[in-house]
Amino acid sequence: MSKSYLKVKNVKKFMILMNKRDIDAKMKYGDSIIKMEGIIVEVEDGAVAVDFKGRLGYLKVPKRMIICDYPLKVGQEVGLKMSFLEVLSPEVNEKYISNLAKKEIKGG
Amino acid sequence: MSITNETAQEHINDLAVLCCRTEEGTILAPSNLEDPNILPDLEDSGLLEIPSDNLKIGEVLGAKLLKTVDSLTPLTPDLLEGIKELTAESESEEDQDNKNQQKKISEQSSSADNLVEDQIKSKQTTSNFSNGIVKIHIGEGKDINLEIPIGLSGVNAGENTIVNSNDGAEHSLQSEKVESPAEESLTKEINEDKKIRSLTKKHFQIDEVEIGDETKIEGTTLYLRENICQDAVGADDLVCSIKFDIITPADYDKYSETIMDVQPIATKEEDCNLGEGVTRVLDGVVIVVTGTDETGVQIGEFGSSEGILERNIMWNRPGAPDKGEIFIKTEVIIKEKTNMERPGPLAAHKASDFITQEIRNALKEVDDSLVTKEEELTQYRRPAKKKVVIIKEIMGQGAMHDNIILPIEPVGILGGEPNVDLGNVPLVLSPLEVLDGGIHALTCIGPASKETSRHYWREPLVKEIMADDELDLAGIVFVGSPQANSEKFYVSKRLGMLVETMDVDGAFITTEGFGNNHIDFASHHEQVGMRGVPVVGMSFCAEQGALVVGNKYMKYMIDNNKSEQGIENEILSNNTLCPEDAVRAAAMLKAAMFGADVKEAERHFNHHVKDKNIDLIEEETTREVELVPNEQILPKSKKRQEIYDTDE
Repeated sequence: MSKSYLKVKNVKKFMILMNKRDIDAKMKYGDSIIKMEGIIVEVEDGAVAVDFKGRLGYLKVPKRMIICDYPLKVGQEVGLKMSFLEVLSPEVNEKYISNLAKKEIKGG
Repeated sequence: MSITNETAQEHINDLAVLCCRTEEGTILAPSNLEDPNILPDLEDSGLLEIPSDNLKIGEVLGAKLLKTVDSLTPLTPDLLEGIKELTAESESEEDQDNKNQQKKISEQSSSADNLVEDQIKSKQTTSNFSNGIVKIHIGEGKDINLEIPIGLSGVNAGENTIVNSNDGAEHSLQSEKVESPAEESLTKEINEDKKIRSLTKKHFQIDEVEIGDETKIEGTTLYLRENICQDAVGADDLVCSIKFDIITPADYDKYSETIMDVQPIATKEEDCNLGEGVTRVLDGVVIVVTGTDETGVQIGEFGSSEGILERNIMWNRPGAPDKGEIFIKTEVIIKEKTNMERPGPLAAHKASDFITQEIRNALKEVDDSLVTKEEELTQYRRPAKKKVVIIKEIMGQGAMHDNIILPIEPVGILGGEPNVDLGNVPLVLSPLEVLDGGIHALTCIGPASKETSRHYWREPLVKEIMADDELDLAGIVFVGSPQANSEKFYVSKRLGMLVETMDVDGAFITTEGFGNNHIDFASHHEQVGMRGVPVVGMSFCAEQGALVVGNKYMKYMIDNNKSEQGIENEILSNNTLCPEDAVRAAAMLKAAMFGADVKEAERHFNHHVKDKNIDLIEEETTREVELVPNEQILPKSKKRQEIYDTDE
């Protein structure tokens, strides 16, 4: 995008806005929302784990990210809407690779 | 979707759009109209275009339609006969109401800061006098109640704006100034700022941290006993091992496990209770708690935020280390599979605290001659001013979602009670107890928005309001956020009752991070707001932390976001409450309490709102508000460089 095209006084602020939509722009299917159901399979003091029905995966989240009216129990069903996971770019993030390597050394 | 009569009355000032195809000659009733709440969505999706002469619901009810039109037609004067005129009186009254109702979740969330604008109109004024207080009521639906003590020489700045704009009120004030001298001195006494208690912080500078034979402080060097870790392991059965690293600025480029907490090193002098007396504190050095379980899994791990220190820390945030400080970084290894259970994270904190306690004991012995700075914090009550309370919602879902409240030592463990064990019910702390390390945060997920122990030690909102001589800070209420909604509403109702007994004029409610804690955050607003108390809410929201629920009391919101993308960006303390947020919150609450207009939030997050508010505050108060930098100043990985440097 050439600067002459941007008839915006404050180019920097405009670019900030553009960056904000960075992830949105990279996702092609972000609005294809599907309904998922799952079963709570683990309740820990700080986390809850869920198996998606239909062998569609497993999700573990901090307790803060799950909303419930009553105390959590293994076997309760949960519902959520999600879209598909899209890979944002072919590049790998070196930071996360090195973190993973460190963990492997440690955990043996 | 048509609306009910009730909804129509609530939205009398909102735009009227037909919900269904309607025949010529129909006398319009609420059942013909579309729900005003969904109009913005329809507009966004392109299904609807609002013309400039779109009539309001109040104007079209009872009017006759002149021709048959399709659904989703905005009603304009050329389509109708018998349009009603809305009276000015009802307009302003409804306007207010309407604004409240109209707040939709998305609006709420996305954004936050509303513009503070001082526009005070008043038509009717009634005043009466009782017990030495002039009570002025300004009508026009805004319900501004001013309590101005007689004999107060010079009305303070906040009140001034309003009183001056209102000739009637000023006049009545003048006339009531005739009173006996005895009464005058009495009221003066009542109205004077009252000193409640004070806390002295004695600062000791540390420039070097070394390993030695015993833990001691000599000059500006702190020596740590070399075999201290052997004893620290015994702090809890779950601790397998502990080690610590001394991180000087030269080591900032080193790898670190996820930072669990940042803590000041401070201790009480003999016979002093937390929150008063004398506290000794080390400057230039902080405790940083990190840890994993035996298999290398981070404590409280959900995805990684470990990495190079200088890329992961937003320096100088209230809750983060300051650039240039030395870290005593502990690394606690706890038993396998205990990283998500309550005793696990607590054990890591206990083991780290063992080391801190030994430093505290050494600090108690240090001679006063080494004090580099003495800071006196005084808590005042200001009976003549608007009484406000700060409500801080803390996490209480369990495990690392927990806080130890009021330990004996600043940010210690011994003597404190976890808020989860206390049932998360509201507790009142004095502002000085908060600033003296009364909260030891186990500090859960979301590095960018979590409030560390050091955050409470330097809490900017508490400091700002304590120092504000236009406000009377009643106290700080801490309320936990339990897991289940049934428990959330239980604690929220207790909070409402507590606030009711306090007779406050305004309240701040803050929360850290986002997630189900936003449910209680909304409920707290309702419980306080329904008692007629204006509430300013503060949270990280922006793009990712959008509120999940909203209600009509959530109209004054401050967004703590600092990140460029409006997300949880894994940088410690980046999106936490900073002095600039406290300044905006104070200005907004004052505007709300004095009945000034606060503009409605925009539908989507827009950080310009914040800039504009800051400009406005600077203009009005001639005070310069310094804005903190964000993650852009940190060294970037190649990846991040690519993302952010597109404007070069």
